[in-house]
Formats: sequence, C-alpha cells, structure tokens
Amino acid sequence: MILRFSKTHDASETVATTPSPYAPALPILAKQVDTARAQMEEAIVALSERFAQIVQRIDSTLTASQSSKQDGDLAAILSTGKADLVAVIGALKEIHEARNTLADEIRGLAEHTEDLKRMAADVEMIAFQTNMLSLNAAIEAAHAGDAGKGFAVVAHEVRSLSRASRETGKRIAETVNSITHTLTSIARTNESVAVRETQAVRDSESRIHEVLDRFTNISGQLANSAEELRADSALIQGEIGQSLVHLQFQDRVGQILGHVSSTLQELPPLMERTATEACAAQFLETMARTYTTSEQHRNHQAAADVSPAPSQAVTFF
Amino acid sequence: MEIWFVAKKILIVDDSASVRQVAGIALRGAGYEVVEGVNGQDALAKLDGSKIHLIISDVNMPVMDGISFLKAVKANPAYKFTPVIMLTTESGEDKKAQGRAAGARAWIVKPFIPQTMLEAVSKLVLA
Repeated sequence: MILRFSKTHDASETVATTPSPYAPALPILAKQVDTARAQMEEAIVALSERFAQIVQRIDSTLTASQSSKQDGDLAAILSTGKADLVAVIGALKEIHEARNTLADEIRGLAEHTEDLKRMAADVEMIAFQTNMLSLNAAIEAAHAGDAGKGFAVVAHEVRSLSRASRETGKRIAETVNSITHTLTSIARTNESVAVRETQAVRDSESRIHEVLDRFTNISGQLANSAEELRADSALIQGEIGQSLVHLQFQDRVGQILGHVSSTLQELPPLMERTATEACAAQFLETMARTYTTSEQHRNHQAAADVSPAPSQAVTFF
Repeated sequence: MEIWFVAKKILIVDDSASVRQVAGIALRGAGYEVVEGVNGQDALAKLDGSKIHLIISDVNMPVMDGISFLKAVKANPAYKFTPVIMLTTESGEDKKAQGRAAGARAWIVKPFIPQTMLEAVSKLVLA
C-alpha cells in the first residue's frame, strides 16, 4: 500500500528546506518493518500449511476408517465363522451318534449268537438221539437174522449220518464261539473308541467356543480402540482448527506493518519541506483514512489497544 | 464420505495465505470445492465462465482491491448474480456502505470464526 502523501499537498503550502539529518533513517526503518512482516508472513503461511495438511490427513484417515466399515465386516465374519463351526460340531455329533447305533447293533448281533449256540447244542442232541436210535435199529436188525440184513445196512448209514451231524453241530458251536469272540472284541474296541470320540468332540466344542470368545473379545477391543482413535482424531482436528483461527492475526499484523512501512517511506520527502499546520493535519487525516483495522483507528485516537475478538456477527445486506 | 452430488464451488480471494487456509479448510470440510485467488486481478482470471456458486473476498489487497473486484464481478453477465461475501479487517460503516453499494451480500469482520462464515455461506449459496 503506497499512500502518496506528497501528492495531496499543494506545492505553494510547502517551502523547500535543508534535508533533516535523521531522514535517511526512515527508509531503513521501513525496510526493517518490511523484513519483519515478510518473515512473519512466511512463517505463518508455512505453519498454517502444515496445520492444513495435518487436518487433511486426519480427515482422510477418519473418512477411510468410517467408510471401510471394518468393524461391521469383522462382526459379520465372526458370526459366519461361529455358524460354520457350530455346524462342524453338529456333524461330529452326528458321526458319534451313528457309531453308537452301530455299537447297539453289534450288541444285538452278539445276543443272537446265544440262540445259535443253543441251536448247535440242539443239533448235537438230535445227532446223539439219532445215534441211539440207529444202535437200537441195528440190534433189532440183528434179532431179525437174514431178513434184517438190509435194515442193518440202513441203521449203519443212519448212524454215520448222526455222527456227521454231531460233527457239524460241534463245528457250528465252534464257529459261533469264534464269531461271538470277534463281535465282543469289536464291541469292546468300539466302546473305547466311542469314549475317546466323546471326549474329543467335547474338547473340540470347548476349544471352538474358547477361540470364538477370544475373537469376540479382540474384535470388541478393536472396535473400541478404533472408536477412541476416531474421537481423539476429531478432537485434534478441532484443536488445530482453533489454532488456525488464531493464526489469522498475521493478516491484521501484516496490514498494520504494511501501513507503517508505507508511511515511513513517504516521510523523507515531506521532511525536506517546511510543512504548514494544515499540511501536517492533512497528512494525519490521510494516514487515518488509509487504516484498515480498528486497532489502527483506536491507536490513532490514543485509545487503549485491545486485540479484536473473533467476529461472530455477519452483516447481511 | 460418498459424494452423490457435484460439490458447490466457492472462490476465496485474499492476499493472506493464512486466511485462505482457514476459510479453505472450513469450506472443504463442509463439502464445498474451493478455488483461491491472491488478489482481485488474480481472482478475475479464475472466472473463466465455469459455475461459481459464491465468492468470498477480502477488501484490502495489492494489485486490485476487493471493492474494485466486486464491481468487476457484478459487471460480468456470467457472474452478475453470484453472491459475494466480503471478509475483511475493515469494520467501518463507510467501507461497509461501499461494499453494499457495489453489490456485496454480506460483510464479515476478521478475525472470523469459521462456523460463522459457513453459516453465512450456506444461507447465500445459490442452488
């Protein structure tokens, strides 16, 4: 801002005089003020840019964390995982039930072998009685003499058959014994496997529940810490926003210093002339007219300097 | 944030970078697109015929001041009806009267609270 005070004066009002020996100090002072102003502006701009970047970064982080809906995804994955694992436990239990049914059937089969044993004994008994019968028939055939010879042959064959039947009965009993032994062994093995299986299913179930509980806890903690992070970020963003409001002082101070610098630069040519009172008054009036802040006006009127509070009111036209 | 509409565009004219930053952060945070100009002349060059929904301008700026810029905006048929808010350290009634006469719709004195500015913007921004 250049004030051009010299243009506002009529040449007839001023008289050329010898330059003031202090006059050269004024442009130097003006330069010092300009340097201070430039340095302050540079620093504040750099600072506000940094702040703006921080705010932007926090903002994009917040936006990303909100839009990704990670918490919701995690909860959904956990819920699906829970359902899948419960289904696995269900399948294991079904297999276990099937094994129990099999064990019952094997036990039922073992019971049938008792009947088979009895039937084998019956066969032996029948064979014994048939043998007795064939002996009697042979005796009766001998009593009949030559007429009984053919009958004696039949009795002999019946006796052979009864012996064979007895052998068959014995083999049946032996086989049934062997089957019973095998079935008992299968049943015993099955029972011990079933016990181990029951324990394994129970262990798996409790471990799965433990893992799920742990995941639920961790996901809860994650959600909480994400929420805390979001709250903290919003707080920091607000604080930085407030700091940026305070940095606006640079604009006001810059304008005041700019005005001081322009005025200082205008003074040396004026000091080379002898000014009239009217001319000096006009200088002050022009200076006051070019103020841009309320502080400058108050200082001009020697009023107490008070920093302006942030403006809350808007004047609508 | 998902954007379902085209963001409204706001031109900020101020020679102070810190003021442009504060206003820019507040406006971008509220979902506006922001274009910046460092003085009246620079800002006029940004008025290329594309839609600007609102202009926020400083008054005291080098090269071209805010009142001259405001007059130039109002003389441009494409931006004649674009609302302009003056954002300045000036609080004198005579300056405000100049702004009003040149066609400004509102006057906010610096330092300003971003929320105050946003309220004025949302009230004046054209649909």
